[in-house]
Order: sequence, then C-alpha cells, then structure tokens
Amino acid sequence: MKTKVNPLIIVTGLLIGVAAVALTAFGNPKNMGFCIACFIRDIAGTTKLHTAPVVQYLRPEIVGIVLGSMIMALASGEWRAKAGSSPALRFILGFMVMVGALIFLGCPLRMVIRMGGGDLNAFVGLAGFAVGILIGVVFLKKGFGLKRNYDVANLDGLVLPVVLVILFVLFFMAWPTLSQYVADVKNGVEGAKNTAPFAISTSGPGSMHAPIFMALVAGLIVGILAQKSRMCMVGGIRDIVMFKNFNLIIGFVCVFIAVIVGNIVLGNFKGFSTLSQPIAHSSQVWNFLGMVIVGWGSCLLGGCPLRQLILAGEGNGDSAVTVIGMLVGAAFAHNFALAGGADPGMVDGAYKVFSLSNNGKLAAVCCLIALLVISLTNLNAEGK
Amino acid sequence: MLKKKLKLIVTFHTSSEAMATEKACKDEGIIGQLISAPRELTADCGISYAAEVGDKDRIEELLNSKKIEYDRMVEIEV
Repeated sequence: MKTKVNPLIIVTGLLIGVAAVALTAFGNPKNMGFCIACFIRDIAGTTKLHTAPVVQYLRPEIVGIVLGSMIMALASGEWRAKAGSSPALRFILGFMVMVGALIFLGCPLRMVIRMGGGDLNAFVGLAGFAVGILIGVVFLKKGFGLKRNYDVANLDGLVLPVVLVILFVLFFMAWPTLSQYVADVKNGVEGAKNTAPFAISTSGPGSMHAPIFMALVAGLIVGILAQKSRMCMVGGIRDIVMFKNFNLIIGFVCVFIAVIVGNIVLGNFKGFSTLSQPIAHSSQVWNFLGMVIVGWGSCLLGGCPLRQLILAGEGNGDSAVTVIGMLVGAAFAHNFALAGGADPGMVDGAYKVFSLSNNGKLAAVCCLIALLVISLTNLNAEGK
Repeated sequence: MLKKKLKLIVTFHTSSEAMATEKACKDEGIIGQLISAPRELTADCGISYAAEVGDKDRIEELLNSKKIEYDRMVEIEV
C-alpha cells in the first residue's frame, strides 16, 4: 500500500462514528445518528416543502456541519466564495442523489452507520454505491467534467450558511410552541393544534431527536473535522480505483468500526441480518439501484452529500445549489411517493418485505437514464 | 514511514483538464501520474498531476500549446 495515511482522517472517522452512536443514544432514530439525506428530507418536511407527517424536523446537525466547515475554512484561510460550475446540472444531480438515497433510505454515511448496526441490507447498498462510483470513474477517465467555477462575491458563498442559521434561529424560537404541541398530541389532548410556522412530527423518525444543542455541537465538530480531513464517502472509493490511494477510505472504515463497537458497548448490536432493521427495507434490487444512483451522481458531482455540505460551508456556491437540489429532491420524493419505507415485518405469520411504489421504480429508472445522458453529454474533447 | 519526494504538482479547475493533461504528457513522453490533490495545496478533493520538477517548463509549454487550463503549478514534497 503506497498510501500516506493522514491521522486526522482516522480521528474524523472514529469521532463521526462515536457521535452517531451518542446521538442515537440521546434520541436520534436507530442507525441514524447521522444521515445527510434523511436530515435534509426532515428539513424539507418541517419547512412544509412536503407533507409526510413522520419526517418533519429541523435537524441541527445539518446547520452544525455547514457552520463547522465554515469556521474551519475561515480559520485556516481556505474560505473562498466560488460558483458558476454548471449550476443547473448540479441542481439536478443533487436532486437525483437524494431520490436514490431515499429509495435506499440513507446517504452513504448512514449506509456505513447501518452496516455498523448489523443491517445487511446496507451491504447490498454498498455494492450498489461502489458500482455507481465505478461507472462514474469510467466517465471521469473518458473526460467527463462539469464546467469550472470562478471567484464570486463573498455574499454568494454565504447564502447557504446564512439561510440555515436564520432557519435554525426561527425554529429555535418556535420550539416552545412546537414541543408543547408534540406533548399535547402524545398526551391525547383534544383539539391539539400546531400554531408555529414550522411543521413537526409527533411520531415516526422525525419525532426522534437528540437535544437541540447536543445535535448542533455534534454537527459543528463533524463539520470542522470533515473540512480539515476532506472526509468523503465517494472520494474514498474513487481514490482507490483511480490512484490506489487508501487514505479517504480509512475514514469510512473508522466510522464502521466506531459504530459497531459503540453499538456492542451500548448493547444495541444484535448480530447481522436483513430482517426487521430500523428504518430500512430488504427489497434488495432497489437498495442496490438506489445506491447506484447515489454513487454515480455523487461521483459526477465530485463528492458525497456530506462533502457537498462541507464545500458549501467553504463558500462553494455550486455545492449550495447541489444541497438545494437535494432539498427539492427530498420534497419530490415524498410528495410523489418515490421514497422507500421500512419493511412491514411479520404479517399473518410471514415476513413482509417493503414494496417500492411504481412511482419510485419509474423515478429510479429515469434517474439512471438521466445520469447516463449527463455523463455522455459532458465528455470534453481532450479526454476522449 | 514513506519518504517524501519533491514533485511538481499541477492542480486544475476540472477533472477533465487533469485527464487531458495526463494524456498530453503521456503522448510527449513526460513521466507523471494523476494523484488525489494534496491537502496542503487545496481543500478541494479534486485530481491533480504529479511530475518531476525538472519537467516544469516542458509541461507549462505543452499545456499552453494545447490550450489546457490549469489552476497552479507548485513544487512540494509528497
């Protein structure tokens, strides 16, 4: 192995894993200490871009990650407002990555966290993710490239962090009303009404969350470390294939190790299985294809959903557009019933597997075709 | 511990510029390889080209003649 391993990537991977286990212990859904796709989907829900009642909450982790990256980039003189690289294509790629992730039920980071939780379905997702990246690498080697970015006004690079902070402050101000509403519903108070401007889940994954400031701090720490180490789930596999460089993949492995050890220590690890896994399904074709879309799309974008948040924090307006694409993709995924769902489990003595809607299947096929079209039409002459 | 060597690193705005550089250099018999952009140079996780320091002028001339854009050429130990 010719790789020079950056110790910071080991620290980052281990801390992300520990933070994920801790956030779950303090209230986040099982195997969902961190999930960039799920958390952006919850933000789309609380801001009423979709109306799925079980996935509506403003996840402070997302705000923390972007701010953490911004703080570290500013402190190290790496913050730079840049934009102008094929924005519409990045928007639609972000959209498709989100659709793929929600069919599978998790971003690449949650895929690893699910693996560490003993969910074998996530290993099928990993196979799809790797295949998607390999397809992307083939096109990169053939000369695929989105257009270059340029320096822009500082305000351009501040858009996503500022919008997220404003949303967080407004959500925090509305929190007493929101939490009272949730308590009223749980206590069966008749005529309970949410008078806050945000929607909030009273059941399901959106209702499960760690304390607000704990989640924010965890996000900040992950954002700071991921900016410094360039942690990226897609980059890990891409670098192995293209350069035989194992540095980034070690972060990926460290997340897995920390999560599995953490789950064992807390008594949450029940062995490996495909059945009855938290917020997961065992419809393997769609687990696989969902993650092919995520791997391929993220490879063309140059980074996984976590990396897009980090880049947006560094002042990259193109990544901010990608994140907004993911937000809209999440809204579409729930408004048009494209997203996956948990296996119903034991029904009448037999294990029932989740069945993806026809809309979801059609969306997955359309995403794969669109990725092929984007890949083929952006091959630059020099690389062909 | 792997020993560091002084290398010429070319960074790019896009991955397709990196691919084009590798192909052009290979055609001209310049020895080099694509690598993940060193963290010391950039926060981006893009692709860069590593070559011998002595080939700097040849590479610069080649990229200009082929109109291949690049971001920076830096000599660092990698």
